[in-house]
Amino acid sequence: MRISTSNFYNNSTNQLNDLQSSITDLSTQISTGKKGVTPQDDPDAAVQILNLSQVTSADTQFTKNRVALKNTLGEASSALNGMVDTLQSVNEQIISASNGTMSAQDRATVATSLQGQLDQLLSLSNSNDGAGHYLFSGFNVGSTPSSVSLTQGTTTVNGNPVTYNQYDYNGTSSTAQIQVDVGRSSSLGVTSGDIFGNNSSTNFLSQLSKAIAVLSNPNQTNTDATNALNDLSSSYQSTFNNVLQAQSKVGITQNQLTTLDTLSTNKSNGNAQVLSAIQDTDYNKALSDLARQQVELQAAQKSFQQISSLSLFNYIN
Amino acid sequence: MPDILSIANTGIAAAQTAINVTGQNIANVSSTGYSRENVQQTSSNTGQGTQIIGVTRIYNDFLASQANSANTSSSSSSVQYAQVQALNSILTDPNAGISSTMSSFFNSLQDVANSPSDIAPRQSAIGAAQNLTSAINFVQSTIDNINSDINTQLTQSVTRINQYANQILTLNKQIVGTADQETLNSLKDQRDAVVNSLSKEIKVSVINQNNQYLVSVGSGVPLLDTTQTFPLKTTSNIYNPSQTEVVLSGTNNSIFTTQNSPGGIIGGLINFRTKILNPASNSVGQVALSLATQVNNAQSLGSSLTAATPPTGQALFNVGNIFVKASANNQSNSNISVAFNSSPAANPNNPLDYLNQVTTSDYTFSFDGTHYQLTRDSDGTVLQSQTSTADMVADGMKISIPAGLQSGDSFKISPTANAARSFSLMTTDPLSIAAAGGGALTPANVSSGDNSNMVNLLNIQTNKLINGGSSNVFTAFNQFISAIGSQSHELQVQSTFDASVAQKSAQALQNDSGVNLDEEAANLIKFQQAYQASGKVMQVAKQMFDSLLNMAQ
Repeated sequence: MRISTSNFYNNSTNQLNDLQSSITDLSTQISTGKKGVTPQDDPDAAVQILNLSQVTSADTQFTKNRVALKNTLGEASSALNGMVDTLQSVNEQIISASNGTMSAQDRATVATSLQGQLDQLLSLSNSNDGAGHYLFSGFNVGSTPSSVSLTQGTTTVNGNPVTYNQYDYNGTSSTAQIQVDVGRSSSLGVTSGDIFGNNSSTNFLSQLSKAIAVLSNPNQTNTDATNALNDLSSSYQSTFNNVLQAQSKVGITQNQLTTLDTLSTNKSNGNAQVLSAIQDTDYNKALSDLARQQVELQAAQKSFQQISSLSLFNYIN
Repeated sequence: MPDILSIANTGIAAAQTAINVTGQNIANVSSTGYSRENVQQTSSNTGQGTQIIGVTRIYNDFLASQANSANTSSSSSSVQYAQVQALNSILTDPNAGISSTMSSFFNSLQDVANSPSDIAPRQSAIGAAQNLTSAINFVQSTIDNINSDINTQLTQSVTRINQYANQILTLNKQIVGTADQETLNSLKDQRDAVVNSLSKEIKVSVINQNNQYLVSVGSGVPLLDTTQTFPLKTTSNIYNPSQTEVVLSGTNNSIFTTQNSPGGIIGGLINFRTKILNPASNSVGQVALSLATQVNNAQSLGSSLTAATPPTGQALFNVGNIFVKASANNQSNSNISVAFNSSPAANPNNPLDYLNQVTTSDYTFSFDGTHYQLTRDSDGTVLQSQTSTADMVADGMKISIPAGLQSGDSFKISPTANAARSFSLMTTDPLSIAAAGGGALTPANVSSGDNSNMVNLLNIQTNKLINGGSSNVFTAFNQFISAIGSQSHELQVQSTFDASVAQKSAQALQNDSGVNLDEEAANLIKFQQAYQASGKVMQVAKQMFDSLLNMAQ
């Protein structure tokens, strides 16, 4: 076949250019550690990278959300433990004051320690997360869940009316939902209202305050004391159950979050592996390709040099 | 005796000419478009000596037309490939792309959900919304830049085509008026080179009529005859002033469409714009529309912390309206008006369902004097045809028809083409995010931990409200990227293939017409020897003559 001289040079140049450009591609892959996949190279892989990146980014956010919720649950859990201890002490006081051998003065001593426990419960009910957000006030994280009501309660001691502080629940019944996984929300789900009651007259703290008002009153009769202690005891029973329920609710949510953490770690490890397989350089292949192409380029250069020195004009003198 | 000398003389003259031609060939070994020349030598028709009857230009018309047509295909696919790469490279930027900024926006909304009354996460969310807006605007402005680049390239290509037409016309005339063989060959080389350049711009057909080229482009649009050229012109699309079309002088209807592709740069650009760029704009718009509409709707369901009325959350994103444009050829001045069919009455259970019906296609609305007709351009389906001016409802749109349209009037409707272009953030007030639940609460009545509306905002990530309930905003965008990737890949393969065919055809032509130095070296020796031999003949003739004279002494 007849080949024109300029074609011969053009072909050789093109061939050398092609080899050089693929060597450049390979060395970019090797130095960046990425295959540099664009949608054009592999549309499916590029979309998979986008999907996995989005999933990973959402997972990172969910993990952050879970950490925040777990902190809240941890703080709530210790507050609830404190409530259990304090309520048990309240119960001991009720039992010892109810055995019928105590004098009014002895009961006044009981009232003093009950007052301490009331303060303790009030403070636990108004626990915050350290950033000033109240744990147990539902959506109203900015205001204390339990506070002294404007309306005072009234009871009778020895036939005479006696007033005592009542306590309001200032929060909402719902608590903030936090997204903890794709399409899955979770929440603390416990408020002071759930534990101590929403109604200021039947609120356990109000009941405790009423009992203290009676037991600390020097004019109290035995009947007054017995009635007050009975009222407090029944309110105690339901409140104690409420706290135990709240504890188990918090525990269950904590367990769920731990399970989600494990699943999420597994999932993100898997995603990272898939992502890496798609977009990271396969060094074994890249390096062996590079070595092969170097040999090819050298061979092409050598043969170009030899063939181009062949010309009939060299022999015409 | 004198005959031997004159015979030798013709031999020397012929060898000289042949050496000249060889020299010319050697000198042009690297000249583009040069066709090598051969001397045609025969014995003299007087029976005495030899003669050169011509210097032939080695040029194979068949190979040339193959090379031209391969050139046309290759420039069509390579111009498309170059354009699609510009799109390809911006779409998947892992940090600034639409997909990643959209993820960041929703993640920042999660932070708002976690602390709905804190200002810091709200500010971050507004920042993320700004980034998302920039990413969408950036993709759209890249598309717009590509579009204006196409307009410029079309105009430049048309200018070149017209220049080539004038050059061919001039060369035609020169060729007809030239007798000198060498000059003629050089003019023909020039003319074939111009035709080859022209074949890069557009499909060329050449008829050689008595040594003059009659040229037509595309599928039979005449460009020049023996006396004049018929220049092409560019003008704005009759519906869309921002798109340049190629027309014949004196008309404003595009002569080249994708169905009637003229190939070359012109055909490639028109094809790319129609099949890839406009749909890309519509696809980005579809995602932007769905996202903005859903965010604004979710905002309206909750309560924000802004003191301003209305107390319900205000819209966050502004999104462009439906593009409606009357044809420049319309007889009447009446305009149709088109809106999304978003009235809750259309679908009380899911008022946003119309988003599912909005497609990425363009539409043509036309009136033939009797029928008002709506056609979906992507598949040519006639969606509605009616004789009354009652509202037309189709593909998530509602079209109000005015009285007074004239027969032949038409309009172009692009539901999502403008959505991303005008995509913007309507407020930068962090308090405007409607985290709290509904009921149009005033800020004072919003509980500081109330995040109950955030679920509506966050669910947008997974709501399937695009393409008939099959895609959410992320998957729809990914499908778009996948489509661009596939098209880009196809074009890469096609343009590599076309380029190699073009290269092979050009090589075949060049191998036939080009100079081979070894061949010329051999010719040089051959003609040198012929020259020397003729010289020797003269010497012998002289010696014979001398001997004769000596004998006479």
